[in-house]
Amino acid sequence: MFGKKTKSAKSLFETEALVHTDALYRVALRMTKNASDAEDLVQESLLKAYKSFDRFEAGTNAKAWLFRIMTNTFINTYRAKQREATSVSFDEVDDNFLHSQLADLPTGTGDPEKDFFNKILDKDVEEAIDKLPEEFRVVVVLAFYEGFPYQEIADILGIQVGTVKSRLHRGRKILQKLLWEYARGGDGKSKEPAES
Amino acid sequence: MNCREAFAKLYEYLDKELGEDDKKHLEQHLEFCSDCLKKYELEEEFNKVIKQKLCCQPDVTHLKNRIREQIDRIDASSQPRNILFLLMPLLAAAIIMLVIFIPSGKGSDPQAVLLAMRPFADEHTKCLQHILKYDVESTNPAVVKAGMAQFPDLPEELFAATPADISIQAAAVVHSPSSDDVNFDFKAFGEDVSVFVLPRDTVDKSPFKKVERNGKAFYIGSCPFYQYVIWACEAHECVAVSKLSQSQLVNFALIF
Ligand SMILES: [Zn+2]
Repeated sequence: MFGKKTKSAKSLFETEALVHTDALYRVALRMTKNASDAEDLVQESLLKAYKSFDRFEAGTNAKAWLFRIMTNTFINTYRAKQREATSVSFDEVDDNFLHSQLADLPTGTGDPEKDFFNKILDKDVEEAIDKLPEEFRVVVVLAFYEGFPYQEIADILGIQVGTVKSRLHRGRKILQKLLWEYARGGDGKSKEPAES
Repeated sequence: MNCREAFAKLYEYLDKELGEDDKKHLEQHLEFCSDCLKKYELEEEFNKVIKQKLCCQPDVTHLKNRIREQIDRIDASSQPRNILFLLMPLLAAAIIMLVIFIPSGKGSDPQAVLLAMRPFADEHTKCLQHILKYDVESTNPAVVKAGMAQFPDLPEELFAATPADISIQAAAVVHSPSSDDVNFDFKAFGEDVSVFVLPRDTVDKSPFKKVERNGKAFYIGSCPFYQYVIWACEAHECVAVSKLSQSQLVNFALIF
């Protein structure tokens, strides 16, 4: 009876878990900030998942389960290795920062909003996300890359939905500020939000 | 809803996380408040742009292959591996079997039999929860035999050459406190057949129908989803469980 099923455990793992490798990798890359750590993190997480695949109930949300394993692995193993590049405090980003910056621009030439968005490069977005303090970064990445609902992010990270909401809110505001600085030609490093 | 309240709910609205009532109120506000609408549109655009710029499709073919190799290595190593969830149907069958098999000696009250059986069934469940010590998957009896060599005293006849339409699919040893219970999985006549190898006279066969074929005795019975047949196997007792019909199952047992 289980001879056959042993075989299908592997194919079940293929269709339920390995299909999410690219999603896991995308997120791992922003968590660890480098490709080789990201690969190791994904591999370690998927192997852990395989070993405890019996605890996974077929039909439940495999993707969220995998992200939970990966998040825990990251926190327990990789985070210690990381030096957070930013000791910058982003506490005081004004909710209306982007809106008022755009509104303050002299009108007349074109569409300042469009100009701003056009100036943002793909790598700027990645760099800006990498600058986010970890607690914001992970929530932002889970929401933006994978479109997880608030509740699932809360479950993955073991935090309250309200915390997800506020971290995502703050994360977005910090991103806007950083990207605004990139678009204005700053490197976003020297321009700390202390001025606000 | 005022502007401050509306602003506080913008992201939830954008992320489609707002309840019906809040959503309706916010939409009503955005209809007449151009200031908030403008802010909303900016956030919406920002959201869209970020998502666009992030949607890279990394090539993970290499990584996936590396992981598959690691998985094969895990499977190949004889490390204990908990595949209990795969065993669930089997587990259910095993418990049912045990419940039915245990000598009751207390008359015919099924309730009493069940109650008397309870601790034993629990114990057996725990045993199965113990990791399978050995798990081999092969259609070649020689491979299975070689793999099972570390568990001596198994009936030689289990490794006899089998007809083409019957194959050994897997063999495993389930450790229990008292003994190592051996379990083989066969594929016969298109159905799965599990064979448990137990010490002689583990099972009280008196409640079962006895049939004689080729001078050997077979005891047959059924539980809700499975048929089973018990026969003597050298110093052991073999129990075959399957969804095959009883006569097919006896034919299966006859090849050993
Ligand atoms: Zn308003």
